[in-house]
Amino acid sequence: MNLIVTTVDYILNWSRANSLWPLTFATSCCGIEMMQTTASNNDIARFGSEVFRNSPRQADLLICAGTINHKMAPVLLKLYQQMAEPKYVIAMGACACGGGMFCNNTYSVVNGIDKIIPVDVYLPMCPPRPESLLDAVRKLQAKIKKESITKRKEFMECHRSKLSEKAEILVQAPDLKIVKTDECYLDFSLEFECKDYIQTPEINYIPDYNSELLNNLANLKASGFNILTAIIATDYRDCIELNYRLYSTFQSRFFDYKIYVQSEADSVISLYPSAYYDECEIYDMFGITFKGNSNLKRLLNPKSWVGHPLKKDYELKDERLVWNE
Amino acid sequence: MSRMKLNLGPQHPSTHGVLRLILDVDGEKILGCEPVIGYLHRGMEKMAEGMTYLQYLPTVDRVDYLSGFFNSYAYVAAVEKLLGIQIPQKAAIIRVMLMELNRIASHLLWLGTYLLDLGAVSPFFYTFRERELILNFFEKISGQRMMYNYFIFGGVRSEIDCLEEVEPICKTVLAKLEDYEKILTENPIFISRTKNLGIMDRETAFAYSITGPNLRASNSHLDFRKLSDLYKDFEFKIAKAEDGDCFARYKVRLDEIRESVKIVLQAVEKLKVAGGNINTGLKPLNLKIDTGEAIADVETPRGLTSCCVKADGSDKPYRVKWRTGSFYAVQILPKLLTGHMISDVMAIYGSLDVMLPEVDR
Amino acid sequence: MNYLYCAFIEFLAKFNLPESIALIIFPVLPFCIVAAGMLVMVLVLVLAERKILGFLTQRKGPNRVGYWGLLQTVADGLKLLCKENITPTSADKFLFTLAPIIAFTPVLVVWGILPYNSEFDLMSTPANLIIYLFLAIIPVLGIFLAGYASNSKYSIIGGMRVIAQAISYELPIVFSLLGVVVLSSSLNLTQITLSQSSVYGVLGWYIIPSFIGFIVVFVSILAELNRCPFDLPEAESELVAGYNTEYSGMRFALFYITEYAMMFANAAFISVIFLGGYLSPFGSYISNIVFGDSLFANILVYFEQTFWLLLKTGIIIFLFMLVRATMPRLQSDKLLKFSWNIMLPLAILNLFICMVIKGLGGLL
Repeated sequence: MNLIVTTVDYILNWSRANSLWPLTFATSCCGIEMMQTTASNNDIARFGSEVFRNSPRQADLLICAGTINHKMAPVLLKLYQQMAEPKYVIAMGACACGGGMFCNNTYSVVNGIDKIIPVDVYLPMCPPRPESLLDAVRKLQAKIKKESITKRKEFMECHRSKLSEKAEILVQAPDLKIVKTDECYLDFSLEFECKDYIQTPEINYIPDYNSELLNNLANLKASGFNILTAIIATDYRDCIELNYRLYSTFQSRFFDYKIYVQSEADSVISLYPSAYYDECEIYDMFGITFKGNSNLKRLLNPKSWVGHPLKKDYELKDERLVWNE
Repeated sequence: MSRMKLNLGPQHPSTHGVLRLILDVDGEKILGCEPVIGYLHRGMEKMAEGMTYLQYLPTVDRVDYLSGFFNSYAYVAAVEKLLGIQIPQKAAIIRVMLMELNRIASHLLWLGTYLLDLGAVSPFFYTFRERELILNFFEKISGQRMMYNYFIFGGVRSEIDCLEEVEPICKTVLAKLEDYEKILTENPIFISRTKNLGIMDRETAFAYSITGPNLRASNSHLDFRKLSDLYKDFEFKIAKAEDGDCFARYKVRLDEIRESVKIVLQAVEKLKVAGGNINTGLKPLNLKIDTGEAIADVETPRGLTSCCVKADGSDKPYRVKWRTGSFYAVQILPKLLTGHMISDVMAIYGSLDVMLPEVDR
Repeated sequence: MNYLYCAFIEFLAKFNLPESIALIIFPVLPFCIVAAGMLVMVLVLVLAERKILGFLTQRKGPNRVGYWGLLQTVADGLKLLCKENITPTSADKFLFTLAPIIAFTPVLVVWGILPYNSEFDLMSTPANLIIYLFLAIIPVLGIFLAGYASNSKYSIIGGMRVIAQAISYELPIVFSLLGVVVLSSSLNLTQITLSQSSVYGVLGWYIIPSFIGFIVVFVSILAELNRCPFDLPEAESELVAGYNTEYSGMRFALFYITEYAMMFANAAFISVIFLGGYLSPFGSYISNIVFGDSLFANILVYFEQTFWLLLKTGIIIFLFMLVRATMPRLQSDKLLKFSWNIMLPLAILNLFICMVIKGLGGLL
């Protein structure tokens, strides 16, 4: 009996180890090195792993290449659950192993994917060289060759129950509800009124809430400042500075237009459609609402996020989501 | 088929990262689209507030990992503005050379992955082969392939002692560029997939704050390199196209590679005769900066990147803000995609060269 | 066939077995050979594709499993066989299981229709060209069912695309084949092969009078096989994995095998129709040239015939792979326009040319 099991193990492990089809899953920097590993110089195909499957159902290996943040974590877990057994995980890069550079002073990064899914091989470095990824694949192959089907089954069942627990915690994080079509797209097809050329006004500082913002920006736009490159917000504790950084392609220069607000400002998307994302980001990060922007939403953080991270009184916690270990 | 919602991403082969597009489709026709971003949000702006100026320096390469030198430059230049220091001439030339090489590498990667999105397999391998040459050079001078951390406050970290390798790299890239054009520019399938697709006129591009090659493909001359002091001694043309479609964006990027090669070769000539220091010898360990604010702008492969640094007298930045090109390129997607087919999503999205880390920061 | 049958009875007689056993076994045996040959050929083809793609992109391709990576696809197959089979909860479970079987089964029969040499010709019915065309389209139905049963949006779009593609490209194929039917006055694949034989070898092949037809069939078969540049149903960069997004393990492997087995069958079909099938390109067989008209030479001819067919098929398959490495993918709407606006008129033009040639031949 033992002989049969070991023979079957040997053949199965041989086939599994030599045919690791990775899932195309790359979040950041390490993904580029993963692509380089498939390219001519490093050619992961030699080990039979160039068959990158896009569907998790057909993949055996999840190379988690890059940072996972709290918005991405449920997606990672879902992908792992969708993969068919036997499945293996390489945590590629310092971020995936333990948060890397982003483990301190930041609020949104999961410190290591092993808090979410089981990891077979850790591959630190930021980012790992293609050669090290090849080495990790070799290490994983060596590990698989030592496996036994009986033990694999135990491992699988143990993790299934753990994963479903985690899934319950994670489900509340992303809001996957989709808004009705007619509501969710902004109508940006507003016509701009071109006024006569007005002398560039000398406004750099307006102390309190400004009813003049729209007027002044309209004047600036008419005087040639046709690109709003960014809105830079800064929290000065007693007020929040909004710096509308304009650029004129006619005068080839920037113009900083600053206002100071408490919690509300006028929206400028009617003048500069590009301000929509800026305003959403500022709403997300500073909690300022913009009058006239009816579609304000959390842009970068998950919809269920609490607090506004870039405010000075925001407290950094090590773990925003509590995982049951 | 009736109307339905199609969810693309965040794990999707062609979004090159973690963009999520919620498409509203009727059969294969796209009626609307809503991009969802933030799946790679790492809080790099908040991170700066808890780190010293020097500690933050290595992390800025990760803002856009395909053009690490540009981000380094933006941050370093902003801090230099705050400190009021001038960098030595030689360091300035080195910076220009490395940034332009980086631009070539970035555009090469774009070309390969864009064609992968369109379904052509081979160009991906070819462009990565040439990109590898540049990365090897970067590794020799900085010790890292992608995250260089080579620019320091007041100059660059070390001398370049393998300058003679640059010219062969440029020659190879130019020669291979001809090959790519032979395969692509007259390929009927490639043309039919990119011509007259995702047309963006100049006024729309301005209104949506689109910069970089995407803007220059829409018949605009705006190139922030021409405003910069760094580039004033270099001769180069602004690559430009008029149609504003995907093919124009492809042409602009290929032309930009050629112009960048020109700049690199000029820089090499200058470096051969340049003498003097490569940095000001500033001790950055306990750097404290008086209250003030400075913004540095740089033209990256993906448009205008501005780094705004605000100091409050302590050894940590009070606020760091990144303005990046891709952030605004994602915003224009609904406008460009509506009315096209599902097959065109990747052709249009890919042609904008969006890097997700830059969008989410 | 008779010749082989007698040899088989003699072989059995050596073991003192009655003739009736031969009567039962003999019709089944060739199909077993074909099935085994097909599995081997699929393994070889998958490896060849990976190796050739690697070669074209300056890589080595799989080379660690077995000598020169020869066992790579064996490992892949074994792994897929033992992988977990997931049926999504929202899928139609019956159809979901049925779809890969529907796609796979006709491939076996299609392989049986092709004439591999002048003896090994299993289903030489008067109109097996028609049977081939009907059977070769059935995998499309399986693929569509897979897309429908998966109940996933990517799958259903892939399934829809496959149907649209098959309908548009089946027509040019049929019209181009009509040209060959006119030239050979036959619907039988063996007859079509034999009517291409001439003392000048290559010059007798139908690729010369019906060159446009060859091009149309080549392109249309690329589309039928869902291969690049027509790989829209599983367009990886658009639809994740298209119709087989939800498939894992053995069911996915069945689709994989179907794809490559159909590729071989269709390539062999092209070489039978246009490249003279198992005929030698030199007019007479090398075995006959070297060994004269001896019994040994006549037996060797069978192997030579199969060799020629495999060689021609191999060349066609290599062209398929070359196209895959070169071309970007078409858009779905342009794909259909391309078929109706360019392929179909060309096919009709080809039919017209073939009729004129046939008419002239009759006059002379």
